[in-house]
Amino acid sequence: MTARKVTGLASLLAIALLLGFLENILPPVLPALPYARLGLGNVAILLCLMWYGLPFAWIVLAVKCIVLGLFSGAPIMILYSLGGGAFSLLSMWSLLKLNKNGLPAVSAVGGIMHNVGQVLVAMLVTMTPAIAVVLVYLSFFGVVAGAITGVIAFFIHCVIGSKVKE
Amino acid sequence: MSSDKKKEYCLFRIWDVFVLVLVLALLAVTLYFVISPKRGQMAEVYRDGELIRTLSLDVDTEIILEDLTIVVEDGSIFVKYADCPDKICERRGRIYNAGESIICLPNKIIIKVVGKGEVEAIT
Repeated sequence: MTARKVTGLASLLAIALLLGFLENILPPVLPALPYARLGLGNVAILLCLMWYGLPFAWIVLAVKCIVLGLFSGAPIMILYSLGGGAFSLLSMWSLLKLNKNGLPAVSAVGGIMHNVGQVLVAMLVTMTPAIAVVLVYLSFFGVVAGAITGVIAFFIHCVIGSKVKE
Repeated sequence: MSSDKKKEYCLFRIWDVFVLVLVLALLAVTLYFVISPKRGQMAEVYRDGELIRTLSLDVDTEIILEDLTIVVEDGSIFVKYADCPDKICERRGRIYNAGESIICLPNKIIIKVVGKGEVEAIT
């Protein structure tokens, strides 16, 4: 654990938090689907996963969800974002391990799994299986949003990826 | 994680086609079962998964719960005021087709439009 690594992780976390705050303030991308967000914070999580591995990505994800949840004024949202984040992170990690897909595809699957996790938690918390219907619409958006964040992550990796040393 | 194994990251690989086709096929199949827009007659309000109100969409009313104000107007239902900070349920606007729902996660409230005497298919 070098100072360089600590700073790198801290920067990623700061970026993830900042993007998260920004997205909470901005109006929803699609008015018909107010729950749909671009998930720009996912760029930081994905980069963290690529550069520092799964354990550190877990830490950044957890801190991001908890801090964002506390500051958004609705702490119950921590549960939803952690559920979604965990699904997303594990799916992206498995795909990266397979090492057969491009980053946008990895991120797109991560986007869908984020929705799946969030809706699963919502079903458990509200005990209403009917919420699953929302998942279908959300997933279409999740693919697009995930692909966009994947492309962004790719270019960031191209520019500064080689400078990141473990 | 072994750091000696250098990984290449790309924008696109041939495997992405399989992943995308698989995902889109799955979504198309589920979407087929979901879309059936029929104008609903009733609205159900759930809190914590428990049915707390059943409203007819034919009768214009305004219901004030402690955290939400729900309005029925012209055969549609919408949330007029929510005390949660994100106001997502307010932005959702009017819903009127059977199967549509307004979900307020912070308050654990779900408003669902249902057709008359319709058997709940998903539960």
